[in-house]
Amino acid sequence: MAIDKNVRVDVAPNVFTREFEGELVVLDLEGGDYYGLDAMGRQLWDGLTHGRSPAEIAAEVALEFDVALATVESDFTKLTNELLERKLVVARA
Amino acid sequence: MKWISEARVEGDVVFRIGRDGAALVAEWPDSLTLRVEPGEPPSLTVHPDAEPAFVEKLRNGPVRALLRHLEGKVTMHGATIAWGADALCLLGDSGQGKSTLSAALCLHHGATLLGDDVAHLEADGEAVWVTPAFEDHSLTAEACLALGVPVATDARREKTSALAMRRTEPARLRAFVVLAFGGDAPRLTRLSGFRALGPVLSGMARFVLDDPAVTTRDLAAAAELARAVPVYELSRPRDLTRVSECTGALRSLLIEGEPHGHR
Repeated sequence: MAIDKNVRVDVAPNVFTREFEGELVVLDLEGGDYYGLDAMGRQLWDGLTHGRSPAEIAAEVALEFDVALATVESDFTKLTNELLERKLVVARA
Repeated sequence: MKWISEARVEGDVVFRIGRDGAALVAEWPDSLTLRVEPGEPPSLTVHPDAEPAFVEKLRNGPVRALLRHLEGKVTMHGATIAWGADALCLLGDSGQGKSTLSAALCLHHGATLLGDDVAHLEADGEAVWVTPAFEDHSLTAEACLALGVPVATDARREKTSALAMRRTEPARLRAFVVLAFGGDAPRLTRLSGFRALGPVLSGMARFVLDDPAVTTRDLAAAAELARAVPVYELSRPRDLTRVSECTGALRSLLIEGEPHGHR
C-alpha cells in the first residue's frame, strides 16, 4: 500500500529501540522480531519519532548531505511504509 | 493451554512452546514434555515410545538451552570447535554447513568439538567461554562422503554421528563466524554494527518470546556478546570439494588472528 510522504506516525507501543555501534536496533517486543536501521535509517526514525513527516526529514537530509531531494524522499517514504507494514509505527489519524 | 510458537518439519510439528496458566510448557511431540511452574523445579516427562538416544540429545541440547534461557543465560544455535583452549562458533541457518565445516576442522586440522548444534556460553567479565555440550558430529550422507567418513544413517534425521573428537573442558570464544554461500572463493570479512549484532541475536536460542522483559534482556545480551567477541562472515562457493580452503581460513583466523589474506 502506497503512503503519503507527508504521513505522521507514532512508534507502536510494543516497540523498543537500542543503539549499537551508531546504528539502531528496533525490536518488536510482541513477536520478538528485530530490525536494524543504518545511519540514514536512523535519521528517518529519529525524525519520525519527533513528529516529522518523511518529506520533512528528507528535505533536511538532502540539504545537509547535498543529495537529490527526490531520491531521499522516495527512499524515506518507502522505508516509512515498511515500518508501517511491520507494525513498528502507526499512522496518526 | 495457549501455544506461543511452534516449529514444523515437512508439515509436522517438531517443537512447540506455550503457557498453561502461569506454567511454561515445551513439547517435542512423541518424545518429551518440559513443564516449568514459577518457583518450582522443572519437570520433564518422557513419552513411553520415545527413542532413548533422541531423548538424550534433546536433554543435552534444546532442553538445557531452554532452561538456561529461563535463567538468563545464553546458548547459541551453532557448531563450536576449539584448538587448545580457544574456540570458534559457527553460526548460520540450517543447511549452511556448520556441521560439515566443524567436522572437517576436527578431522583434518586437529580441532576438537565443543558442540555440533548448541553452544552454551558463560561470560566472566573478561572473556566469553563455551562449555561443552557433549554432542557428536551430525553429518549428512553427502558430507560424510566428501569428508571420507563412514555413512551411518540415523533413521530420524538421515544423518550420521561418525566422529567423536570432543573437548570436555570449556574454551574461550575467540570469534563468531557466520556462514554463507556466495562468491567463487572463500572470503572472511569482519562484520560490524547491525551486520554483526543481527546474526548473534538470531543465532541465540530464544524460547520465551511473549515476555518483553526477556526480549529486551536477550537484545542486551546479544549486544554485549557482539561487542566482546569479533563477528566474521565466511562466504564461499557451495562446493564440498573446497571445504579444505574454508577450514584453512578458519584455522588461520583462530591461530593467527585477523585474516589478512581473506578480507
